[in-house]
Amino acid sequence: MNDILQTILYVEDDESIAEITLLSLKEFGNFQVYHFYSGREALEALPLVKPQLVLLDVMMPFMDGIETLKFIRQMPEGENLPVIFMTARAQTHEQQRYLDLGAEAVIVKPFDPLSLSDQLNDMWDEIRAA
Amino acid sequence: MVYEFGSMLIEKARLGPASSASAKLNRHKGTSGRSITKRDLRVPAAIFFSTLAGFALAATLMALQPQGDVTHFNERWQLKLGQEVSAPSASLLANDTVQMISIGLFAALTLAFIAYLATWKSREASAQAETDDHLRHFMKSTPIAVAMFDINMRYIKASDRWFQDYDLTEADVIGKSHYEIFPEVPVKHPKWLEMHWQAINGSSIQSEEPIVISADGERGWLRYELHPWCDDDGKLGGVIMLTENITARKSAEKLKDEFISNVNHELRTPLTSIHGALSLLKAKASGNLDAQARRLLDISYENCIRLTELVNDFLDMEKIAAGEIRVDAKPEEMNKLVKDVVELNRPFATTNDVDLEFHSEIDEIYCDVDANRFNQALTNLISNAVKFTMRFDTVEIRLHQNQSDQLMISVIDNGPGIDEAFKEKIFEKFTQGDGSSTKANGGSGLGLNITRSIVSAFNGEVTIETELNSGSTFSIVLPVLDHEHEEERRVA
Repeated sequence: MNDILQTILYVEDDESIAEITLLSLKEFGNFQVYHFYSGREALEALPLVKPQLVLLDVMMPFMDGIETLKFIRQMPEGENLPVIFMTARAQTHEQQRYLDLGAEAVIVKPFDPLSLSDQLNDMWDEIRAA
Repeated sequence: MVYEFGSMLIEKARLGPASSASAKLNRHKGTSGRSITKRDLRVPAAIFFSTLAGFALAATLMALQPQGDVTHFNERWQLKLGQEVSAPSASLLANDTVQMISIGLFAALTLAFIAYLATWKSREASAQAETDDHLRHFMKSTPIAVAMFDINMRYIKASDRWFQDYDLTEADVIGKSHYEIFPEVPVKHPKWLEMHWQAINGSSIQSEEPIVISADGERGWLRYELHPWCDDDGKLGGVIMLTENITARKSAEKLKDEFISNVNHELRTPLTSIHGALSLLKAKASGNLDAQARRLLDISYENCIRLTELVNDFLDMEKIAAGEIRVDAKPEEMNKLVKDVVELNRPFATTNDVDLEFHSEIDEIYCDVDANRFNQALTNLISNAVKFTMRFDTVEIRLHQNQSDQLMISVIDNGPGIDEAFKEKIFEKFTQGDGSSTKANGGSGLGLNITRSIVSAFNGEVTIETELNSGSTFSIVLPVLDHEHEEERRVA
């Protein structure tokens, strides 16, 4: 596992939020971010992108984040791939559910775009150390 | 449709409110404050009439006894004793009258006593009948399924609701073992056996848990309680078991949770965009804006933060109102915990040009708290203090013990203070110092209420000392844990 987080696969259906997130990661981080608007697109791209980490929204049409995570886990590339949920559906019991399903962490919306990159780097360090 | 839960079968159609039972509800007069009834007059009336009858008997005896006979009576008496016959005298006559009155009195009292006993017994029997009547109506009308068992789990009594819920009749169960009625319990549900045993041995058990409610595998919820009961001598007599199908309530709670979760999501999603856009704009482009535009940007950003806090606080309030606030309390060393919270709040204080100073008068002290929730509670106090403190001033966070040896975490500011008349209202929802302060300093007006609820969950309290124009001291007061004792107990 690389020491530095470089490649992120980002799944978000809300255009405004996606735009802000991408801008934030570009301005304050040094990542290669691949953004997809749906879980299905992300799953198709996963073997090609080979991301180090997946940043995944929960509430999406057709295939939500939880279902997407389940499919990721069934793929050889995704079996041990760290997944972080970034969601507005984040009550305590919901966060616990995401962790139980195998997510590494949960970022609650609204997030701080100024510190998002640092947050992801810190989480990456923790994942590597674990 | 038949429900199966734990060990028992119940008819679905009968799980609704006990409407038939309530329709048949009989109202009974209470005993306190009632007026005197005929029944209450029985005893004095019986005594009065018996006394009257006794005297009447004595008077009759006297009337039937001729005057001369009195002398003969004495004569005969004295002859029997071998004494001389003497002439009748006035005193002798008087003595005999006294004797007759005594007999009359004795007869009257005896009759009165017999009458009293008879009335007493009758009254006791009628009181018993009344109690039985009340109990019967109680068991018939009580809206809960409750049953009383002896130590061998044989049915002694059960409410009509119990019979309805489990499709039984009184004749089916009274005197019979619970395991005879529900033979699957020992085989399929040993957990219930264990709980019965615990209750028989003096433990009370209560819980809520999911159950299977139909042959199709439909799930529901059952609330149950098991309590031991004792006889008048305090000897364990058996078990009282109470069950309640709470599936409808749980479904309503689930719907409410989903609604809250959806509202939460729908509010946060646009907030994410607004907050994100404003944050980036402030960080990257505010330098290119003129003063008025920058001010407008600041106003937008601050109110966005306020709205986010409001959404967060609403969620917390909802959890508190529903009693769902999760407190995972464990022993925490408070110096470290408080210091960490102070450091977490330092960037916010610095942004407001306020310094945070932490002073502790204690080396090491432990309290039973949930670190995350404590952080939330203390953060509320610190951020309030920062908001109401003048720029370049200091907020002090002090750790000390009060006279009762409780731990006090005091947040001391030199702000405007709070009017005495307003002090009591400060913990109410949507309340802040005064209207103008609320608008100037932001916040949801729920923070202190949430803080108090959290601290209450740690068996503590939040106190306030304040003086107008001199500042305020908010203190979290917590019971101190005997950590060494706790450690020993844990190891043991």
